[in-house]
Amino acid sequence: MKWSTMRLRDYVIRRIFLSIPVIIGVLAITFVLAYVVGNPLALYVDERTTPDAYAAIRLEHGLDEPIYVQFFLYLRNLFAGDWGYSNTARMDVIPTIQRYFPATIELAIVSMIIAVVIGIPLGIISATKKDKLTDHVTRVIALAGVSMPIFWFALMLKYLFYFQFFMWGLPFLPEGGRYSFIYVDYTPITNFVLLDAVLTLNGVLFFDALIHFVMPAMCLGYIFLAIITRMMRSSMLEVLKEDYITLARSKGLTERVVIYRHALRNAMIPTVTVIGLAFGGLITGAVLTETIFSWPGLGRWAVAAILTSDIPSINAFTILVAIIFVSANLIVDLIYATLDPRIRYG
Amino acid sequence: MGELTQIEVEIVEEKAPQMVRFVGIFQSIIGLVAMGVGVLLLAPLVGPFIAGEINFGSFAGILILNTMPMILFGLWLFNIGRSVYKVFAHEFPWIIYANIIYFGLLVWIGGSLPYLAIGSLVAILLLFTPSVRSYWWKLFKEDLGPRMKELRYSLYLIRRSPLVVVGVVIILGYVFIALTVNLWAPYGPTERIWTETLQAPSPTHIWGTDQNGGDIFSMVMWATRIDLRIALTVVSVALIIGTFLGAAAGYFGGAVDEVVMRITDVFFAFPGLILAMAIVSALGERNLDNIAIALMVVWWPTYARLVRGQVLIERERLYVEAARSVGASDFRILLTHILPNTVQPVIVQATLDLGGVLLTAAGLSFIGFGAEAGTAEWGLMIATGQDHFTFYWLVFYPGIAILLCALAFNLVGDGVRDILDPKLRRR
Amino acid sequence: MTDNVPLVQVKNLKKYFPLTGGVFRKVLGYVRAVDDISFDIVKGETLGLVGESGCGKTTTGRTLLRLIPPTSGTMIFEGQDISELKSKEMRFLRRNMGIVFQDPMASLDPRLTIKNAVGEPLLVNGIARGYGLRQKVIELLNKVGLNEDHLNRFPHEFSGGQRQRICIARALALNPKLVVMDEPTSSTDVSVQAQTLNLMKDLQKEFDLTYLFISHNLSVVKHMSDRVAVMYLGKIMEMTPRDIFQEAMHPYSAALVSSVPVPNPEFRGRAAILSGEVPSPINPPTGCRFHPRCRFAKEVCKDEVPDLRDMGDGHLVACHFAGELDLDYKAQIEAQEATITGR
Repeated sequence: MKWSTMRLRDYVIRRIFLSIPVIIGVLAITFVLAYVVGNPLALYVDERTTPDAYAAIRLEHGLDEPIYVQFFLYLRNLFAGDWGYSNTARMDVIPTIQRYFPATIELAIVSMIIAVVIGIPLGIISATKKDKLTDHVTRVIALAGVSMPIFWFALMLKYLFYFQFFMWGLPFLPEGGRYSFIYVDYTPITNFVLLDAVLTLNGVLFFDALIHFVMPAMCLGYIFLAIITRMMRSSMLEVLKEDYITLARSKGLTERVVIYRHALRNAMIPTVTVIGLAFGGLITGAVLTETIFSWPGLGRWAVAAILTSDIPSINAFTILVAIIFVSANLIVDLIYATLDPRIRYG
Repeated sequence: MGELTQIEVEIVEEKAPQMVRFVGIFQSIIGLVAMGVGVLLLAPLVGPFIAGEINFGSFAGILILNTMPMILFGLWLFNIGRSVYKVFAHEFPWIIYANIIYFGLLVWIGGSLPYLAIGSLVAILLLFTPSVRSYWWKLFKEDLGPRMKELRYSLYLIRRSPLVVVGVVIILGYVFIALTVNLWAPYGPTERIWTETLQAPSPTHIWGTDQNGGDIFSMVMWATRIDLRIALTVVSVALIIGTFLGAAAGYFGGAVDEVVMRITDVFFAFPGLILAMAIVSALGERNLDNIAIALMVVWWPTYARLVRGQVLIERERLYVEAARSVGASDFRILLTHILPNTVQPVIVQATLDLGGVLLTAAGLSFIGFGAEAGTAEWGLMIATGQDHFTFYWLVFYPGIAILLCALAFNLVGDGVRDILDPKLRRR
Repeated sequence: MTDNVPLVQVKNLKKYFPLTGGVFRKVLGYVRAVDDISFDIVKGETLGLVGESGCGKTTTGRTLLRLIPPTSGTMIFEGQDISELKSKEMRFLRRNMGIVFQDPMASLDPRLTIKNAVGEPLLVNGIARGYGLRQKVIELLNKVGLNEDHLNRFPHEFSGGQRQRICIARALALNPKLVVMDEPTSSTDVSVQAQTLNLMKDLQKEFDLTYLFISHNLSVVKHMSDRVAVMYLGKIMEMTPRDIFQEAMHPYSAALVSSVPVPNPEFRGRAAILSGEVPSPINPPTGCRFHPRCRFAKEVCKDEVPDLRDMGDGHLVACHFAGELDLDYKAQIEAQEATITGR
């Protein structure tokens, strides 16, 4: 039995402190995977490497040191910004990330917007029309989205909107890429295509990029639409059972006012959490779809690195994703704590 | 009922006939054999592993998936035999339960091991010989009564939910296909007809053929075996590890709790697929066993957290304190009071995860890990099909197979969660 | 009935619960649930423990059985100090103690049939199993007025009173010497309450049991107990071997007694002598804990903690002015007596 009380400020500080060991743990796991379980030299040696040369390479990379020294060196390199060389991209890891990051983030944001804008209203409608036809249809759509292999969905979209539409002589969607580099002039400024198009007031580029976004964003967005719709529906149903909703109804308020003024705010709280968690899933989705749509982002880079056993690249990608994921969860937790004071007492 | 009371007077534990002793010894032998087989499965790999001829992944795979379960089961079966030898009447039915589960394990490991089940069958039959039967049957029947009542009520609730029924039917269909595919599949899993490549669906090849002339229909059917097995393996191992650590963390608290929970925190910092990717690439070799190991490592923290949370709730219940007040040990409290009351959410999570693991495994396979080229496996079939995506049937049918299977698990998991909702349940 | 051999001796028992807060969850203070209490329970008697909710009576009962560890103090059971015992030794000793909780539904595992619930003490202590266990459980159930037909049912199939009797059967399974009754009747309705109380009295005679009877209901305590201890904010205020209704000497006990409702609509006595709220056990008042609510409080009450003083015959009172005050609750009592005898 323990009574605890905590103020918001304390909670924020505590929560931030708690993510430090998590990040250290993340680095430890990646270290173990790359240096202890895996062979970090896989790229530098082959059958023709002589034992002497092998020993020299080992020495050069500090692999003869004790494990904890190696871990310390690993951490020092990471914090010094030396993340190694990406054989896949033919340049250092840090600039590689800088190059591919915007494409993935832009795709994630556009997909998220689609998912939120459609998913939340869909969830609300489904909850308010519980067990009606609308509800059943929505539930099936959402459930299919959760059970869908995203890479299969991507290929099917591509088959239909690119190949089949082309065969039928319809206006078809581009096969892949972020813009049509053959006939659109584009010099990256921020590397976010849509943002750059707005900044340079380039209408042609904007429209072209938008067309390229349709399939990848539809694909990623659908999966998250499904998650958000399900969460919204169930939390809305939960809230609609509460006594204060019955009270609001008994006061004679219209159903519309009851739902949007009274229920929505509380029903949104769990959904916000899910949106944060879904961000990690978006990156997973990017790994599976970027290759299919030739999207020059982190996911395609990671898959290429995997196929050539490019350990530094895979390692960097893993760490990066973990950091993004942890930060997203941290932000969500803090939003959650501000919205729902109960969470702080625990 | 009065009849039972009298039997008690008649049966004195010391005067057990030879037959009961024999059943106990026989059951213990089954246990010893199981342990021995477990060791034998690993033995041929020890030398090559030390010599560095086979990598860590395949060695650990056999150790975790075959040897460990066999040894643990062997110990269990042996102990049941010992209790029966000492004529603990309430332990007799465990011979039935344990041997049935053991049979499942033997079939799952496969090879010629299922023949060992003949011994188990004999043990169960011996249990029903009249002189042995009088020792446990009446008590067993009486204990079974309330359990059957509960089971019937659960089944009634499930039947009322059509979506769950649909899900169960689909899953049973998949299981049926996996078990019997060798009897009716038109082509073998790796069979190729080199003259009939990339053929559209037709009466000879109802789902068409791939670029090497493989029959898509047969391959999708054969793949059921591989994919269901991976999902089942990963979820059950993750569940056992997670439950064990989560229960320990929740019940004992303190330092154990801190350590386990900080470790799960770290694992939760990665999206599942990404961590699995990093693990498989570190393991080096690309095969299905490594995918399974990576997914187990990724999935156990889910159960550890879930079980810990449930245990923390249950631990504070009054009936736990009541059990402690009559001298029950921590182990007994955990096993008979706390864990059974946490089973329901764990089962729901496991059902949902079967779908999740299936999708993630297919995803890993799609990226390029997993089975060697040409294996009948859904993710891999889609991956090879994407080079020929204008021939839609290469990609479409394996994808539908994944979708339907994952959907069925999600339907059942979701539906059962609603059914078990305490607000709807009568108590 | 009493031969004056103490079965349990409690000396200076304290139980503080830590209160945490801040970034690193450091301990900010303590909830003093039980603060330095001492009492004996004699073999074969019933000691009643009364007080308002939150005064620490339940904590006292649970600490006595070592279900929660004490912060300090000694507890001696049959001459053996149990406050420092390891949990394994304690498990063995628990055969001699039983407890019946306030909420019978919550204290029975919903997944266990009655046979397994009542049989659990026998099974875990290796006393019986299989058919023998079944037989013993039937005997126990018969003792509390249930029978063989109830063996294979689940707790949710019983009424509140039946469940409480199942709990009593379980507490008696090991043939204990001491049974702690933690508000055993407060969750059942009045007609069942009387039945359960009488059952407990009968069982006490039959098995020569010693009870620690915890309740907030004075009438119930009066009915059950040989001696009564009154607790307030973690301290014992008064302990009397006589009828607390007639002999209350502490202003708090007097207030409690006079707050018992009188089933007589004609009666216009002085109710609500107790004013104000119970102070927080985190920051209890200095001196006598009762002084902020006491109408007789003087300066000395704020500064000095009164000791339990013997006012003759083992009647202990923790008040600086014990025996000097005109407590004036007799009218209330007479009215009560009148209504009872009037029927």
